[in-house]
Amino acid sequence: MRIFQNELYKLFHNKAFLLVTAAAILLNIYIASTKSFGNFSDAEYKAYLEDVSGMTAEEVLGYDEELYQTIRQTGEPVYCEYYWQDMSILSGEISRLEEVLGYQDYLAEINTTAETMTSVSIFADTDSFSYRNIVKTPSAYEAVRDVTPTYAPSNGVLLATDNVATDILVMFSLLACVTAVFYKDRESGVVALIKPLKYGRARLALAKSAVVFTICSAAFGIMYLSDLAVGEYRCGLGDLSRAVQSIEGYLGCNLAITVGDLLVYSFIIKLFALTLCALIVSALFIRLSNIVAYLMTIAIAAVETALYALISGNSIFSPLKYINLVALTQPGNFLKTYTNINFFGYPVNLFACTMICIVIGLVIVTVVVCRLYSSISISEIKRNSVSAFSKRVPKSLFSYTAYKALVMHKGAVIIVAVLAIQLYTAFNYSKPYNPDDNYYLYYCTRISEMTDEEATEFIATEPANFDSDYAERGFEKAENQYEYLISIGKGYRRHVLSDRL
Amino acid sequence: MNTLKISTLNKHYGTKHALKDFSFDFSDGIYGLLGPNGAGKSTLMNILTQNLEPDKGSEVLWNGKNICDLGSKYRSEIGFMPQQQELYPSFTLKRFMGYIAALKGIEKSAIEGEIARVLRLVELSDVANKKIGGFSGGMKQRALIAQSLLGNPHLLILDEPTAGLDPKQRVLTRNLISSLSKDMIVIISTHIVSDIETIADCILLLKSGELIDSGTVDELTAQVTDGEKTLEGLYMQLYGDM
Repeated sequence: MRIFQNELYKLFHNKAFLLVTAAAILLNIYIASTKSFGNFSDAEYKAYLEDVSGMTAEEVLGYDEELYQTIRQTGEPVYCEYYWQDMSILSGEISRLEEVLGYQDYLAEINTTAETMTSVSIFADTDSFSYRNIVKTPSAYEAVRDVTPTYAPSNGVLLATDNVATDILVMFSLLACVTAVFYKDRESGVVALIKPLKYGRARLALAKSAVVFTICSAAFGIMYLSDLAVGEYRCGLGDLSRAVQSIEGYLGCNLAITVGDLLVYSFIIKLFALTLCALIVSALFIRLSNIVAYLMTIAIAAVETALYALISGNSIFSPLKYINLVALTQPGNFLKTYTNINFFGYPVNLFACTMICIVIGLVIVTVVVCRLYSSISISEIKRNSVSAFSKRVPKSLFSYTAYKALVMHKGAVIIVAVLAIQLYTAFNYSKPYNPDDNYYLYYCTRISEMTDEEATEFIATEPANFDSDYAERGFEKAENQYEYLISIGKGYRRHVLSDRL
Repeated sequence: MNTLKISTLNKHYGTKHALKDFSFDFSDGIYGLLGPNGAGKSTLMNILTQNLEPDKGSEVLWNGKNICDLGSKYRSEIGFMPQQQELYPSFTLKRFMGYIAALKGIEKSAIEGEIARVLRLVELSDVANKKIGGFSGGMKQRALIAQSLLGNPHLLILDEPTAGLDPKQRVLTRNLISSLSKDMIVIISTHIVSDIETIADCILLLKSGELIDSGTVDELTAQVTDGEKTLEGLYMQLYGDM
């Protein structure tokens, strides 16, 4: 315990770790606060929720369907600035309500589908994974026959359970923790002092692993709770005692658990999975040089992500998809729906598999970390601390300074972190839909096909044909674009689309 | 009486033969390892502290038992002061001592007393609550000596214990080591001949990984053929061409 306390004390006096973790927590709050749930704001969605509060699910469905038709006919928005935003809210809620109210039909359909599919020749091979999987499915849903999902907002809960940004940011914090806990002693040469001590090997390595787990719990706990707090503030979490099938995307869950249970299970499973990832990285930093360890970490992350994303769930390679570090941190894989993995033609429950893998993985990796830490020799430390760069004489002040900044002071890690966040936000960015843009594109395309004389005449006469404000605004943007390009001497035909699109 | 018996100790770093068939029997007393850089002193010390694995065929026996078989039991008998001053700058001296004491397996109830004792020995009691980051080189050196004395080790290995100390502190350190040697084996590695000349019971001379001679100061200095019959004269005679 004293060793653990001192290791924790050392870590909390490591400026790099504190800075990275604080930045990760703040960034997590920012991302959670600004994450888009659709083409509407939180206030607009809350206004809708206020109107339907106190209604039963059937009443809400009736209300939504009627309002949807009204808005469609009149084009007059009720909650949002544009009518199509209201329709976006209502169509999403209608789908959700139909799922919730039709749950028993959904369960009945599972049985029917299984019977139908097993009679189809391509699935009828009793020795195939497909057949065995289909046969197992109906019985897996026995536990939820009496479950009644209720209608309530899901986004707040999903902000905590399905937030990949949080997982990535926790990993950055853990990376800083691992380098401070396992690599710093090597870097500073203190290992020569510590290793000859009675508990300076396996027990110390165990204490350091415990520190990693503690930091994982704290950092992930803070971020998870802040996701929940943001979710509650933005759209509410709803009644946590309602069935988990009430949450969007979890209709296919075959467990009779509540939303509160889901939050707890998600936290615990992710916590242990993230700890497993951190300990694997720790093993790399115990034996490898700084640069190689970072590169190996990135390589492992890339390979695991590729396997997870590219392999199909029904493939014989599906174990590589699901028994995978990335998959282990996504409990939604097996909580959202009943999933089996193809294990040599036999369906094996993914939930059980994942739990077993995490537990066994943690035990094995902890033992490996202790063994690696105990067996490292001084000569190995000295060898690995000699970087590829320092083997050569620096040729210039610039290259030496760049090495110092990027490698020795971990500037490269910051660049990679910023790049990862940038890529994440870029791939997850969706431009808010605006009907003006459709008209803008239409008019730009038409004008680009005309000669200058035709374009001038078109611009003069087209306003008489406007059928809506959107057309007028779209046309105005196209006209401004055309005149600007003419004024700077550029041919319009080469610059059809605005950079806004 | 403690015994440390080393038989045909060899260590290769790749093709470099750092220690060649080193054999010696140590018993309670002070032993000085003398030799230039690359002689094999640090390699020997790192093997004795199990920081390094020796080559196969080597044997190191502590009180008759192989240190590889003893494992942590052997390490609980060692006090080691390495030749480096990287400590934990954010730790106070007292916290650092407490950390080392915990790693040495010293009972929680005995730690306070042990820390006070060793800090008194190295005259650092008044800076116990100051951060190590603000220490001078000499203070860090004394802190390292102090941590090696925690738990009353029976085998004390000191690598350049007086490096960075001023003359007064060097005398203090020599006197301290001299007073400890009664029921422990003390092995000191140093370049500073005068540090071991007056306190060492036996001096081992290493050159290019080999033990070239050993004996008391008088026995060794009798071999000086050129110049003063001092240990320094012997050092120049043996290593002057290096």
